[in-house]
Amino acid sequence: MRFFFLLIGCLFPGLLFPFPETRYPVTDIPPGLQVNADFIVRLSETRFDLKSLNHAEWTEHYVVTVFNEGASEQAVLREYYNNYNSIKSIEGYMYNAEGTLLKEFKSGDIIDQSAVRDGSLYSDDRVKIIHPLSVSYPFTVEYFVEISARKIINCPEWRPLDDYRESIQSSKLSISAPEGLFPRIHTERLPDDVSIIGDGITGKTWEIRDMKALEREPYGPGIKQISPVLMAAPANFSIKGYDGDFSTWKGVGLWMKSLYEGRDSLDSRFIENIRNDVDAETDTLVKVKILYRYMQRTCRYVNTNVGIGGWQPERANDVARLGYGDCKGLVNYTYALLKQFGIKSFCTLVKAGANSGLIVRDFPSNQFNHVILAVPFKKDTVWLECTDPMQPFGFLGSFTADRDALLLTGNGGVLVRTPRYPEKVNIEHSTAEIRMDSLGNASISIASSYKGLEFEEVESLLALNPEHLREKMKSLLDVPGMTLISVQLTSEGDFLPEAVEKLGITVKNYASMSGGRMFIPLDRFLEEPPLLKKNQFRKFELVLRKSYVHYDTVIIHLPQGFSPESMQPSFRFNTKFGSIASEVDSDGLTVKLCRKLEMEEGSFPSSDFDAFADFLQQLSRHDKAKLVVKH
Amino acid sequence: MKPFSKNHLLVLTAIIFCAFQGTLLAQEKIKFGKIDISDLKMTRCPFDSAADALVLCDVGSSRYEYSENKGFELLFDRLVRIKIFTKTGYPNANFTIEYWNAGTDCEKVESLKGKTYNLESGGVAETKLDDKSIFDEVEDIHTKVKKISFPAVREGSVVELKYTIRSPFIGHIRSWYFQGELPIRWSEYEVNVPEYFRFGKQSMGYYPFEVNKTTSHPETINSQYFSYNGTMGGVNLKTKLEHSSISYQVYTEQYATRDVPALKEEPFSNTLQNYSMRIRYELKSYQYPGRDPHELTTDWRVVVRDLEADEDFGKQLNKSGLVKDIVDEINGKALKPYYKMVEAQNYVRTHFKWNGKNSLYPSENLKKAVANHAGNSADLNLLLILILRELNLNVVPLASSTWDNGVIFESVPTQRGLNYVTGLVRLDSSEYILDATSPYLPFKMVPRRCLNDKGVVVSDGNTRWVPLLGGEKDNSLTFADLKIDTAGNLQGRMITSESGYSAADSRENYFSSGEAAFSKTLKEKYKLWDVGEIKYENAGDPEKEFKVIFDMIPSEIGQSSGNMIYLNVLSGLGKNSNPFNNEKRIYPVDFNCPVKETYVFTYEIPPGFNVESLPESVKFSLPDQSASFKFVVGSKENKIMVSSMLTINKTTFITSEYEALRDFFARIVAKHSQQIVLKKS
Repeated sequence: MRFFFLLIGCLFPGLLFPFPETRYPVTDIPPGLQVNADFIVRLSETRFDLKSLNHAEWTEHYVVTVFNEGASEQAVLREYYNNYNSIKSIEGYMYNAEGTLLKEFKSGDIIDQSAVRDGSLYSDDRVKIIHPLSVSYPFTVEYFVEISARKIINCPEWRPLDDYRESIQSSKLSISAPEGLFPRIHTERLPDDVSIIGDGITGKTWEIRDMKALEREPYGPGIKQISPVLMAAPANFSIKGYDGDFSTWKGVGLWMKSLYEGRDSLDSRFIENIRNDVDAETDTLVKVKILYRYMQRTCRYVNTNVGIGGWQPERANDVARLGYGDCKGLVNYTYALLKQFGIKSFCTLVKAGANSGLIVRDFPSNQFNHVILAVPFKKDTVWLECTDPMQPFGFLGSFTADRDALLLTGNGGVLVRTPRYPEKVNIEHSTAEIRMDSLGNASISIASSYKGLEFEEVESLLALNPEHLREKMKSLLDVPGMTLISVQLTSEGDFLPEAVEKLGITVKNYASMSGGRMFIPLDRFLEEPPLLKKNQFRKFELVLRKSYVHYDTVIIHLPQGFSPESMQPSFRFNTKFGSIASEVDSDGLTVKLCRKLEMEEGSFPSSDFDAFADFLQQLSRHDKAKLVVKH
Repeated sequence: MKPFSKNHLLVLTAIIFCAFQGTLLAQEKIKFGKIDISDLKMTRCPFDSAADALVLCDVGSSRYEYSENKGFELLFDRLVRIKIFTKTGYPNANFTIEYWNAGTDCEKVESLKGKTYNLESGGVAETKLDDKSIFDEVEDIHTKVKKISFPAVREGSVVELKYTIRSPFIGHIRSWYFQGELPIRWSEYEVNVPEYFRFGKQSMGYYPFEVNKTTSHPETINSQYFSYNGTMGGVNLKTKLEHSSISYQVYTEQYATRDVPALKEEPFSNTLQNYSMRIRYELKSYQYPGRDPHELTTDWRVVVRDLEADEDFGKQLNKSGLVKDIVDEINGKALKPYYKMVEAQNYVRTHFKWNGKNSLYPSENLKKAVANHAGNSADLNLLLILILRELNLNVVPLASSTWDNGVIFESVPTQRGLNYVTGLVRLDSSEYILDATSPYLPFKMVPRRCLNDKGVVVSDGNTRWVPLLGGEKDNSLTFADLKIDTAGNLQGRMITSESGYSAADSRENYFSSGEAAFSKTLKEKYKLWDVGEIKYENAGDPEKEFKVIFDMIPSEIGQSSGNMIYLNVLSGLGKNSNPFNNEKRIYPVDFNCPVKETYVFTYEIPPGFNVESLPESVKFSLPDQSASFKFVVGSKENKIMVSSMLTINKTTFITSEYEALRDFFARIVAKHSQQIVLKKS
C-alpha cells in the first residue's frame, strides 16, 4: 500500500481561482519522460505535519497523467480511513490532454465503502474512491486531500515510484515536527533532504525530479527494490495508553509485547481434551507437536482487523471459545497453550511474502505484517506458522523463511533469522513410464516426490478432496486426449515435508503419426522454467529466488516392431545459474531418458542475462525434441 | 436492474388501527436447534462426493405481514444448516447476509441466531453464535451486510443459522437459489402472497422439483381505514380508503428440491448463475380493494408501454435540448441519413466513456451523463437514440438482456430480466442495431457481452423481436510464408488478420495496453519463435481487418537429426489442446458467436532435401454441419502448402451434442500436431 504523508495549511499556488486557461497540458511534459510511460506523476506534494505524539495532519496534492486505458487505475483516488485517521477534505479535477478542465469531482462522485470486500471477515477500515472516466487518452487528474491522523504507529513509507512504466516529473515529501518529536528517517535511493529549522519546528523536504519510466524485466527486482523509499518512525508515541519507544529493536519489541500482556490466560476447560495426551509424553518436542496439531484441528483463520492498529491479539480465551482468530490471535493462543504445559515460546513478528523483500535492519520500526511462533530448544528453534490448518509441523516455507524476524521477549525485541532452505533440501524426483501402442496411444504411470520448498508446488493440492484433486490434476496436466485413471497424493514429514504423487493416465494419440513414423514427445511431464527472450539491453540484475534440483526419468516402451529413427543425443550444459545433464539410452525395446536439472539461487549482473536465457533455451530445445520411431 | 426506484419496488406506507392475521402460516417442518445426529456423523456428501461442505437444508419463506402503522411489510425467513466436511470447507462457516436500504426505507435483520454443533465424546456439543461473531458493515449506499463467523468449527461440524429480513419493499420478493457453490440436500421456498399482488415467476434449472404446489387460505384485517401511497411509473399515488374489515385470499406456493449437486465451472459456458436452479419473482400487477388494477408485467406490451412512459427511460428521450449542439455538429458534417447515423454513433463513442456497467436505465439521467461525458450503457445508448431521433432518423430503443444476465423468453414477460438497451434504426428497408459503448467495434455490431438471442423493440406499446447477432463471426486468419534451412530452422513472414469479434477483442487489448505492451505480449505468445519488429495495419479503423505483420528471424522450430528434418505442420501453432477435456458435460457449450479460424502456411524446402512424408489431408464435420474442419497439405516443387480451416456456425451446443463436439476438437488437435518429414536426397 502506498502510504502518503500529508500536511495541512500549505499553499497551493495553482489553486487560486479563477483557474488559468489550462493546467498540466501534456505538452509540458519533457519528451524523455514519455518514453515507455503508461502514466506520469506530474506533481506530487505530500506534507506531513506532526503536531504532537499522537496527532498529525497530512495533506497531499497529486497530479497524474494517464496515457492508456491499461493504466487508468492510476487515475483512481483511493483514500483509506478508519476510526483513527479521518479525511477532512477531498478535491478532484480532471483535464484533457490540452489541459482544459473537463470536470470537477463533487461529493456525489465520491464513493464511500468498506475497505475490505473480500478476504477479511471484518475491518473498520473504509475507503473513499473517485473513479475518473475519460473517453480519450491521455488525460490528467488532480487531487487535493487532507487527513487528520490520531494514530501514528505503523511505520509509514513514502514510495514516490509505484510501478514500472511510470515516470515522475516531480514528487516531493515534506515533514515538519516540533523539536524533539521529529521522526527518525531512513531513506534509500533518495537525494539528500533540504532542512529548515525555526520557531521550534523542524522541517525537511525530499524531492525527486524527472525520473524516467522503467521497463519490467523477467527475473528482475520488484518495484519496491528499485524505488526510492523513505521510512519514518516516531521515536516515541502513545496510543490508548500504550507508550512506545521505537528507537531500538528492543523498544519496538517491548511495545509490541505490551499489547500481548495479560491476553494469554486460558481457562482449564479449554485444555481438558488434550491434557492427558500431552502429559503422557515426556519429549517436549512431541508435546509441542500435539498442541500445534490440536490448534490446527480446532481453529481456523479468520481475519478480523480491529483493535489497536490491528496489532493487539484477541484474547487466548476468546480464540479458544470461538475457534478462530487472525495470525496474532492464533499465535497468541498457541503461545498460551504451550505455556499451560510449561513450554516457553516467543511470538515473533515477520514481514511475510515470498517476494516481499527484507526489512531494514538498522532502522528499528514496525516493518512487519505477520506473526509466527518460535519455540526454542537446546539445539534448534522450532518455527510454527499458525494460520494454516494444513501446514506441516515446523515448516515455514517461502512465505516466512530466510529473513529477519523480531522475537518478542520479556526484555524487548530481539532480531533473529528464520531458517533457510538451501538447494540440497529442495528436491523433486519424477519417473514417468510410458507404454505406447502401435496406433500412438499411450498408457502412462508417473511417480513424483516433492521435498523442501518444492513441496510448495503441490501444497495447495493436498488440501483437496479426491474428487477435486482429480479435476485439478486434469487441468494441470492438460494433455489432449487424456483420461485420468488414478491419482494419489500424500505427504509426510515435519520440518522438511515431502509429498508423493502417483498418477495413472491413458492418452489417445499421445504420439502423432505420419508416414509410418511415430513422434513421441518426451517433455510432456518434464518441468522446466519458462523460456526467456534474450535482451542485450537488460538493465537490472538477474535475481534467481529459489535453488532446487529435479531428477527426472522418462521410460518409453516402444510398440512392437518399432525402433528409434531419431533420439536426443546425451546432453550436458553447465552454467553458473544451473546445470542440466541428460542421457538417452535405448535397448531397442525401450528408450530411457534420465535428466538432472539444478538451479542456483542468487543475484547476477545484468550482463549475465543473455547467458541465462541461452541456458533456458538449450534446456527447452533439448526437452522439446521428439523421439521419432519407425516401423 | 435499477433496484431502488423502480415500480417493482413499490413501497407502501399505510396507517391502520388494528390488524391480525387470520390463519397461521404453514407449519415449519424443519426447526432451529433440532438437528439429526446422523448428520454430525456423516463424513461425505452422499450425492456429490467432491463437496467440502454440504447444505443440509435451506428453508426460506416470503410472507406479508400487516401492521397498524406500517401497512404491509414483506418478511423473508430463512433457516440454513451447513455440514462442514473438510478444512477446505471452512470458509462456508463464514456467512454474509445482504440487505438493502433506499433513503428512509430500510430493511432490517431480525431474530438472528446461530449455533455450531460438534460431536464430542459421543454427545452433541453446541456452541452458540454470540454478538462477538456478528459484524455489521455498510457496504455501499444501498447495501448493508451482516458478516457472521461461526464459532468452534472443525471437520465434521454442522452450523445452523436462522434469521428474518423485514422489508418495506413489498414488490420485491427475494429470488431463491436451489443450487449454488455447495450441494444442497434439501431446499425449500414458500411464497405467500395476498390476492392484491400478482407475481410472475420464472424458474430455471436442470433438476426437478420434489414439491411444487399452490394452495390458498383467507386472511382478514380489521381496520378503521386503510390508506396507502406508492410510486408507480414515476407517478405518486395517494389514496385513502375506508373499510372496517377486509378479507382476502393468500396464495401460497411451495417448491422444494432434493439432492441438488454443486454448480461446476465448465469451459465455454455462460456465467454459472445462468445455469443455476432458481426461481425468480416479479410483480405483474396489483389491485387494491375497489380500485382499478395496475399492470406492470402481465404482458410484453405492458412492459414496453411502461418503459416508454418511464421517467427514467422513455421520457429521457424527450430531452432534445440536451443534444442540440451535437445534432447541429453532425448535421454540419453529414448530409445523407446513413452518414448521419454513422457520425452519431462515432460521436457518442468517442466523446462519452462507458463506465463498464450494463444497464437498462441511466445512472441518474441523461443530463448528468452529458455533463460527465461518461456513464453506463443506457446513458450512452439512450443518448445515441436521442441524437438519432433529433437527426430525424427512424430509431427505437431495443431492450435486451446481456449474456451474463440470462436469457429472456417471449413467453415470460419481464422487466427485471432486461438489463440493456441499444438503438434500432430503420433506414431504406435495412435495420441497424447501434451501440455506443465500445469504440473498437465495427458499425452496427453489438458487443459480444450483448449477444443473447433477441431484443424487444420499445415502441408504440407493441412488441417486436429482433435478433441481436448479425452475420459477424469470431474470425481469424493466420498466414505464414516460411523458409526451412538445412538445420531445420525457420525464417519468414507471418501475417494475422482478424475481423468481427476477434478483431474487436484484439483492438481492445491493443488500445488499452498501448502498442509496445501489446507487442511484448504477442512476442511472449510465440514462445519458440524469434520475432522481429511487429507492424500493425488498420488498428484505428474498426471497419477494417486488424492486421499484425512480423518477420521471424531464424528460429529453431524444426528438429534436425542425421539426414532428417522433422517439423510440426503448423510450426507449433494451431490447436495444441482440446478445450473440452472433460468426459462429461452438464451445461450447454456456448461459443457466444460463430467462429472461423484459418491457417494458410507455405514452406520452402531447403536445397538438397525432399519430402519424405506429409500429414494426410482431411475434411470432417459434425453431423448437422454445425461445425466443420478442412485440412489440406500438399507439395509442389520445393514448396509445401498447408491450409487449415475451422468453422463453427452454431453458437450453442446442448449436452447431447457434447461428445461429438469433443471428438471433433480432438481430431483437430491430433491433426495440428502432425509432422512434416524431410530427407536429404
